[in-house]
Amino acid sequence: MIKFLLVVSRQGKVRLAKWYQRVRPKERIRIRREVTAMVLSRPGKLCNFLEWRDDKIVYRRYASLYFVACIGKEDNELIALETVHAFVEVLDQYFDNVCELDIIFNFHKAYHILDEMILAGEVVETNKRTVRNAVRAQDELAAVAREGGAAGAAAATGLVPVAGGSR
Amino acid sequence: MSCRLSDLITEVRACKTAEAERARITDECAQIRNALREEAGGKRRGRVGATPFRERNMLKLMFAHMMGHSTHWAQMECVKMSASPSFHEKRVGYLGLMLLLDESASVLTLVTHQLSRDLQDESPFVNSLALATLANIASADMARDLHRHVERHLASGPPLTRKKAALTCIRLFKSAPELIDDFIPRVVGLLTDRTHATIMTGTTLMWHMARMKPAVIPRFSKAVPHLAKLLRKLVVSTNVPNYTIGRVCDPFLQSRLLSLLRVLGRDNSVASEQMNDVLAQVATHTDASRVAGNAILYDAVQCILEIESEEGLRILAINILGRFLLNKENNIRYVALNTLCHIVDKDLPAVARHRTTIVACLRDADSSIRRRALDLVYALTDSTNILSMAGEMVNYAVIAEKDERAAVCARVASAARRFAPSMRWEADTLLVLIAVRGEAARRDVVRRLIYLVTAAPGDDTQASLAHKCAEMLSENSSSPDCQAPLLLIAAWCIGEFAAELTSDPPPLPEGPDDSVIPVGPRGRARTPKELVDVLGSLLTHHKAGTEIKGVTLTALSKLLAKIPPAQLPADVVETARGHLATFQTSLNQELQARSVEFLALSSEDLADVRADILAPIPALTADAVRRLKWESSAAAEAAGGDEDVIAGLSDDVDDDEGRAGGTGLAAGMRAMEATGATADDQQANRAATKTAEAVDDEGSLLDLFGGGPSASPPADADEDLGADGGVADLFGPGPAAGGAATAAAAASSGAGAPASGAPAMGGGAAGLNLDALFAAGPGAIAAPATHAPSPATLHPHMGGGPGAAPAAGAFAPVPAPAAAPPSAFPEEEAFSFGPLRVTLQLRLDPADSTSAVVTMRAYRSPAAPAGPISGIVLESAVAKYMRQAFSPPSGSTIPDGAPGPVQRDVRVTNPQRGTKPFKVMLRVQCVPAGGTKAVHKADVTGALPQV
Repeated sequence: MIKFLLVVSRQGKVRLAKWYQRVRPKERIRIRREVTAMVLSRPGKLCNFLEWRDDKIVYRRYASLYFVACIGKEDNELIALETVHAFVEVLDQYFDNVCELDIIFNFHKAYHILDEMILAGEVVETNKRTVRNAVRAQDELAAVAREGGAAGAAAATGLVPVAGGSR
Repeated sequence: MSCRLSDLITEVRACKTAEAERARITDECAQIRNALREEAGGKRRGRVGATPFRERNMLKLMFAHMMGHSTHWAQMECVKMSASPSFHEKRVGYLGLMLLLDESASVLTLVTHQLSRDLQDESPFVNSLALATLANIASADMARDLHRHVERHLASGPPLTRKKAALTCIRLFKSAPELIDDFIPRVVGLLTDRTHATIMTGTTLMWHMARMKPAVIPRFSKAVPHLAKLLRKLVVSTNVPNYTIGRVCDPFLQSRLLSLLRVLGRDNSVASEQMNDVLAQVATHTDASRVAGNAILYDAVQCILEIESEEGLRILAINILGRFLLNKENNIRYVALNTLCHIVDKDLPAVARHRTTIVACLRDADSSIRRRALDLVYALTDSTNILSMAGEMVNYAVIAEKDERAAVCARVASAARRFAPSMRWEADTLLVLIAVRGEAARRDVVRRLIYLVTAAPGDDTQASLAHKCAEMLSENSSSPDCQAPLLLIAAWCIGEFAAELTSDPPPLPEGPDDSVIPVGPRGRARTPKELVDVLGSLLTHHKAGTEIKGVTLTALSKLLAKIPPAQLPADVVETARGHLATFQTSLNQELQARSVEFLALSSEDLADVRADILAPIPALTADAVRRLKWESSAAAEAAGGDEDVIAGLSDDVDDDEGRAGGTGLAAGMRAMEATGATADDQQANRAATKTAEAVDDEGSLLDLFGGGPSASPPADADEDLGADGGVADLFGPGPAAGGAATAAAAASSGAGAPASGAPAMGGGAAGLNLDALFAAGPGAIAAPATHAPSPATLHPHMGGGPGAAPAAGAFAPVPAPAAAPPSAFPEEEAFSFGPLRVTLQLRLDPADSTSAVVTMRAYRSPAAPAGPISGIVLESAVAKYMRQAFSPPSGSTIPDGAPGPVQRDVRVTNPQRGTKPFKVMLRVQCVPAGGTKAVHKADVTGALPQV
């Protein structure tokens, strides 16, 4: 399973960070630094796997961004690579030719997409169209709710406020 | 007024310095805090959810969190937002919970309630948000409270929530493993679903359950035929829209199915039988031109090798790995090597077939691949291929990156040791290894090499090794990458084999053994001047630490003794003496002492004793090395190191620096060995003692130590207390002159030197004797400060162990060179009792005028009957106004024929010194040979000099 997923820029700035295991905040920062330094210092054309502590780091560079996933020792590195690739493809379709700025300014959308694809460190959906549709549908719901206020949202989505749910 | 999220991000990105960036975010956080406070204070009225900036603020907080700012104060706001009825706020609220919450958060209970409501909501999107959040943050309590709701989604949700519920279960089970059993029927039911995602998540969940609780595996195994059917369908179907990646139908699902089959087929011949066919189909039908296809093949191979598969299938799998190994892509080669590593224990011949390819991978540009290949090469090494494999590994050591070097050195040393065709070959290999990567090697590699050199059969071998060493030194010493251990070995070799180095290197042995001698420099004859110059350059070498300098000093003085005077021009001697004098004013106590001593020793007056003192070190026995090895591994364990990760290495180095007392005097490698083998002083002591025992086994050093048979009774090597008593027995009783020689010999041969100065020469006596010796020398250089006997108790860090018989003051670094010596009084006889004669010696502590160290010694009295005296206990009691602190006794037995002593230090403190006397009583116990225990008490205040 994926233990954490980082998206870092070539300068080492974190663009997305998702943790699928309990890690203390301080430790997170340390791991982030350590892993980022390792990945960024790798010359190109080498293999995309690194052994790190007891785990493996699978990374891939897309334009100016590095997508870094940490997986267990027994996991399939190649599938992890495909998972990362699928995520990038969905981002690409969603943002219509994704670039780093899209992710910087819409990091929350990227997280929403990620949550539709990977859950608890495992792939939850491999059909990119399904992922896209689910994210779009929720975006629309949110947009309607934003426009029409709480009541409108409830009506549009069939959300019925549970007793006591709203003041 | 709050700005938009994109404005904030733009502004932060535009900041020129990190400082400005921080300030901007802190500012924004403060604004958000105010907004939250106002809201909480009820100043802002209106419907919940209509607050205009909640969503925006939360997103900004997430941004701040990602930039590394603390946002824990906003966790409550996340909970509130997740409770919002409008979807956009709920969505952001849950996202905030997933990102901002740390596990210690006390808001979890509040979240549980909210999650429970949302899991029961009518909208599948709200359910799915709640499931995703639960999958991210579930604690054990939450798992117990909410698993019923998750189970409901698992049983009858739409695909959107069903797949998420399945994966959420992984987190729930991890938090609360007792839930697993209840879910088994439901989970197996997922496999019959029609959507890929649900089947895949179901398979994933089953895999996790099997991993977490192997007991459930039998209950899953009846699903094997169904899993095989699913897999077959995927393999044969081509071009399914939206699922096909790289001409493979849903590789994610296939990979999960294969992983699950692997777990279910392990040690289960029935299940293995059921999946054989489909595995063969996967292995033959998968298109290996893309990553996805290779990923499936990789899983299939692992599955085939792990289950009880048919022979043909295994061959197929091994062949696939062979193809992988030849692949151009690094990734594929990496996974091939990785798989081979897994199976190398089970199926060595299959892996050995790919030996050449694997060896070639050692030279790959990619460190991940090299690392895997190194493991394999090591596993494949045996006595038939050691020559080429060791060569490859040494070559790898040259190019290895910093963090790999330790592992490769350990591998080479271990392989060389296990499969070496000859000792000479092993020594040669280790020498080359040390020359290229000595600094990454563990200390026992250096130690092993010294052992091999001392134990090498025949002078020729030793001489040629020494020549090679000297040659390597001159090749490397000026390079910036010169390895410190090489300097050490070379200095030692030059010292030990100075005479041999002045003649030509012996011819290479002829015969069948020729081929096993690695190519390397042979060296040439060197003039004494060259040798002295080389050693002189080592003293100022940039890599030379205290240890190397110490060894070099010893080597210089040995060189003067070993090369016949006829070959030594006067100017060379003068140069050498000049080098010896380098550290006369060194701040390092140990070097200073050695410098002064060796300079004195090199003078004409002491020419007659020099040869004895600087005699060659006798060959170590394998037995002694084994014992040292044991010490070393015990020390390594204590340091938490293991064979490959050299955790202990840095400790060793620290020790060396910190304990110059032991290592500076690396005259003999013994000292170094013992030090290398220590994790603490106690072990240093024991190691030293063992060395002493080894010496005793050899029996050849006894003469050297000057005592002669009568003065140096054989140590009782079998005696358990040998660790304490043996050494003292061995060295203790020498008469004054003999004792001095002993001390010097110990210094030069380093027979026991580390830390505690183990060959405790009767405490201060040795130091005094040594002083006497040097005082007799010309110029009376013996600086009293350095040779002053210092009581063991002055150096608690050195005398802590049970064997810490009074640290030989002469070799122990005193805290400050300027410290005046504690004045020692002559040994006074206190009383005789039974077979024992008990003496006392008082030494005042210069640093603390109120305390003194009393050394109690029990000797065999002349009238005592023959036979060992055992059970000796020396105890003291002091008057109430005084305090006392005991050091451990040197032993409890005086062996048959030995004069003793058994001794013990007690540090007495008399705060009222001057007005009240040192009042001490003694209690002595012993069991004479053939007798029963006898106890004697006496007031010995009179025997102590009252000052």
